[in-house]
Amino acid sequence: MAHETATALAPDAPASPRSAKPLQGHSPVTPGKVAMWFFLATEVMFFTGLIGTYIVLRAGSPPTAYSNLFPPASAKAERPGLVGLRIEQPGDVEAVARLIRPLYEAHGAYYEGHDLEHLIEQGHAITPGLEPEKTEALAAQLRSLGATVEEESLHTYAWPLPYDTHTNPLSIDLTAVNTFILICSSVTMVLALAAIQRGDASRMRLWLLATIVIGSVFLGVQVYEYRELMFGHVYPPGISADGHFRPSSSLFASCFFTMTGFHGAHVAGGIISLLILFLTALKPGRYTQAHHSPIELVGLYWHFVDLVWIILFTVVYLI
Amino acid sequence: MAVTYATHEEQEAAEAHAPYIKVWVVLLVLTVLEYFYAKLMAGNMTALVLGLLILAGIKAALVALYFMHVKFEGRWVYAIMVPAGILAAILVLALMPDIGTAPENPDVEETVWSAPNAPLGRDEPGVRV
Amino acid sequence: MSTNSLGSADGNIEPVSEATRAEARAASEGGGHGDHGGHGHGHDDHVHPAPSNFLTRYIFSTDHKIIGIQFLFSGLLFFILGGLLALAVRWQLAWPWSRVPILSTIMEGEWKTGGQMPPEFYNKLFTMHATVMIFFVIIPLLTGAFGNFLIPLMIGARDMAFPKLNMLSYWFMWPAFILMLQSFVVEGGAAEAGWTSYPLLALFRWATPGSLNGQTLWLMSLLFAGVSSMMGSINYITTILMLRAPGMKLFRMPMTVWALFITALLQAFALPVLTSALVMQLLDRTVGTNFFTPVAWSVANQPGPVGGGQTILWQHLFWFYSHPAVYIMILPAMGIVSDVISTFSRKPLFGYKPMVFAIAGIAFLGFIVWGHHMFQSGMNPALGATFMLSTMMIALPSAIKTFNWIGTLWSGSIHFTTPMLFAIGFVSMFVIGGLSGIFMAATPVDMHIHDTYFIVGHIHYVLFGGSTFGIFAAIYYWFPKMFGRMMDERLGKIHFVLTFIFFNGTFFLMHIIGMHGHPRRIATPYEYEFLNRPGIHFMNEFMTVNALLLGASQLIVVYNFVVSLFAGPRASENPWRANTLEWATASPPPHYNFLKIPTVYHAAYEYSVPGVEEDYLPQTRPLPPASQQMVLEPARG
Ligand code: HEM
Ligand SMILES: [Cu+2]
Repeated sequence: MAHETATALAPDAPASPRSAKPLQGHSPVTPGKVAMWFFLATEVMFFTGLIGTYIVLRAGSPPTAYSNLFPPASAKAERPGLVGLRIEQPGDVEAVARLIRPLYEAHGAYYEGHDLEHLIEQGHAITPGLEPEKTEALAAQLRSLGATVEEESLHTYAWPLPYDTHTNPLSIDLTAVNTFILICSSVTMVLALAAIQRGDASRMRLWLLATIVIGSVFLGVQVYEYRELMFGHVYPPGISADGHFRPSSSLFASCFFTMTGFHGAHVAGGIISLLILFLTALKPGRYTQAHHSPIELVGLYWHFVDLVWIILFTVVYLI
Repeated sequence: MAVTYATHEEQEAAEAHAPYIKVWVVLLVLTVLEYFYAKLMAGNMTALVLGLLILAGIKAALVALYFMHVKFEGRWVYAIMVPAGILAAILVLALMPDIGTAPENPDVEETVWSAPNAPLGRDEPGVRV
Repeated sequence: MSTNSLGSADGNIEPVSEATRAEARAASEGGGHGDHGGHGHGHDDHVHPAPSNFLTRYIFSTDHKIIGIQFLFSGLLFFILGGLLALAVRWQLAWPWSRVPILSTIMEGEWKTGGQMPPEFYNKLFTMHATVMIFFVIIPLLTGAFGNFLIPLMIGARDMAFPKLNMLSYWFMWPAFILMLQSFVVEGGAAEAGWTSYPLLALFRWATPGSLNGQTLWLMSLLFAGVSSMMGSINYITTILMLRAPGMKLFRMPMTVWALFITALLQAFALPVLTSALVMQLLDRTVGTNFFTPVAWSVANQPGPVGGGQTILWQHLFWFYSHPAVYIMILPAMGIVSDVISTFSRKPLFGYKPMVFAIAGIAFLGFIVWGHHMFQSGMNPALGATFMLSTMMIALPSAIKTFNWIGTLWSGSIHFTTPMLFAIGFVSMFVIGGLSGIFMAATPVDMHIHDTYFIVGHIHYVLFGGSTFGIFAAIYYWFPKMFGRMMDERLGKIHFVLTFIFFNGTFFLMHIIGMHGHPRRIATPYEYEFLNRPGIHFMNEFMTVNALLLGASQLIVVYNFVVSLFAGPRASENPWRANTLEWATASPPPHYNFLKIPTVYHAAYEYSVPGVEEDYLPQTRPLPPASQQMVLEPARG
């Protein structure tokens, strides 16, 4: 492989140092580009570490790791035939909460503050799975407090399924829009490069600015998503034992936050580089038709980050 | 790799007028397609995974070929990225037998659940209603 | 990040003083040869003097030679620290629970044991010994020090492709150094989970005192060291691919450059996986992610994490890097040894191209053998068989290399200089280390000797007898080029003889006690009945005495190094009469390396060429007409 690479770079005997000789029909090979592609190869291996880990951990997750009635990785979900109750109309919220809190805690779900009340109010509360007889007794008690309840039998999953609100807190709609946004930033980036390749520096500046703005919107949406997941919303116990989706909540949460978090960090790094490019580009003549390799190199990085997101969106959110 | 240009300038010109907008539109259409495919196929894991991976693969390839100019670049880019891809595949494949196979636990039903009152788990204080 | 802001290939060419410019012009006109027109861009004649500011010249330098020497000095300092830690380990094994000289006096207040080393302190000793030696000594010395110093010189370039990135790669080592040293003094002390840091021991803060804080610092430190290596490796690859002097075809490069090139590739592809694993362990420890924690796990009645992860996942990811890493630690030494042996046999390197392919083969196979560290980890048996097979295969290219070194020595006119002695020492010790490797590659055998002192013996035959001997060879060989002065040959030879003897005295018996079942990483082996025997006691004491003498022998090289640095006889341009390009410029080379970028006419191993008066022919001189055929077949043998 090394040999092949280098013959392509140095076609004739005296390898020409530093001169970026254009090969027939191909873009010129510069040290910057070679280094950037090697850097991207290291990035591929880094994300392989994270995404590969996610893939194998998910494939190896036992079939009862997630369920609609118990917190993640609870051994109780291994037992078939249990039934829980979805509390649709809470009635007396306080009393219902007082009644089911010990039940939740007995099954490893600890809600702090008023989280449990919020959960009940929003109609997302599901009681942990019990034997059918015990569930009936509980249903009667709840009805006496004015609640409407619906029986819900135990479903277990090896991994949270998309759109399953009992186990999966991720909003696909929001992220689909965000994916859309990031792809747009990729096209503005490549248009910035195309502009300077035509020698149009002012267009290039505009497209760079557009890329920065759109990239920041993507990041902003991600921050918003994180905030909702970790602090904003209260989720049923099938998502997290304490109602908040945080890196420690489950293996799914660990994988999700690590992968998307490191992707977000890469986006942030890209935005900073783009800002530097934009500020230096304000100086007239800094980038010209003949000399614009930093635009091209940062562009390569930016598109790579976009490419990683295309994969993450698919394997983390949609599958 | 089909196109060859006589000069560097022509090459740059070709890059500068590559069909970026078309590619962009295709990417957006594919994203929408993915979105609805995932909605329709939710529940059918095999179809979901296969279809979505193909769609994502096409998107990734478009970004690499057009936006990252791999289409206009020499073969040396492949010489860097293909080995990385192979190693990545080797790593994930080799992790599969140990980590990626769901632990089958045939004992669970007989030993634990045949006894209805057996302890349920680590922090099981007993079910009280 | 913007690559440009880190300095592009010719981005940092500064204004040239009139004097240097005139000098350069004179030189280029004097030694002109018109047959290579491919580099007429004028860059070649741009030389510029070293910065006059002390800070930018020696501290925040972008000069690859200075950066190489910075790596050399910090590596050697940590070598001393790592060595002392090892001696303390040996002391405990020979005379358990007795006062350790000096150490006990210092630590008495901390330990509160009347001078006895607590077992957890012993854990810190071997953990930090290995960590320091691997990540702060051998890798930085081979790739950081010699990679930096030699690559541009040997390929005929003025500097690395990205000099500022190069500087950053050195300065990223300092946070790593500081965090690692800091871990000794935080609450609970340094990490204790071995250099391999397997969960669960490494994961839970209450698992060991060192897991309280030390392990976190350990992880952060290695993250910095990893980033440093990444920057270095990308720089080396690009430099070697793009900045070779005219005529320096890939198959004319010296073995040292080939080895460093392939090492850099190994780092580029393997290291990011370790980075991701370190990140995941760090997150597991700090924010409570569940990558490596199994389900329903709790230690000491503390509430456990949710879990769901897999402990063996860490081992896979760790060894996916760390097996290639052991080749990162040996390949550059192999390249160095090849060059040294050829120079001092006054013979072409036997089988140059096979040597290159053997290195490439080792590098590729190195990626698919990592499971041989996990035969005892409950790995899937199908994987075990596969890894056993691939591991056995890696012995093949290793054997090719060994035979080629012997072939080079064969009927050469051998000059037993100090670098040559260390190079020959390398070959013989590597044979022992490689053979013990094949023992362990066989799964049934490894079932018995895994995690015993047999492994420790193997490690040290390859890493001390191999890599470290290679480093010593390199220091003695290139010292004149680095500092412009010669080291003392007589002291060098004494140093070699003592090191060779005490090295074997220290490590050979480890194979024997290992096969007897002596476990590694245990402060109290004698609590096992089968080890509490006079023979084992005696062998441990023997090894410790040898280790202490081995340590003491290193004082000779320290003395030799320091005295020669200031008062050694001045070195000529080419004291060893060697062919490679670094010897075609002054000792030490000027800031810009070469006044005029040299043109290369043939491979680096044209020693004793018929028809040439001297017994060597620098790469900058064409072959005589009589042996023109060799141009077509530069790699003879
Ligand atoms: C012929 C080539 C080699 C073979 C077949 C080989 C094989 C092995 C095997 C099977 C093990 C695992 C033993 C166990 O833990 O049970 C091992 C451990 C090790 N090898 Fe090698 N090896 C070879 C060369 C090298 C080289 C060249 C180096 C370094 C320069 C090296 C460094 C190590 C280290 C550091 C360990 C121990 C890791 C640890 O558990 O701490 N080996 N080797
Ligand atoms: Cu290994």
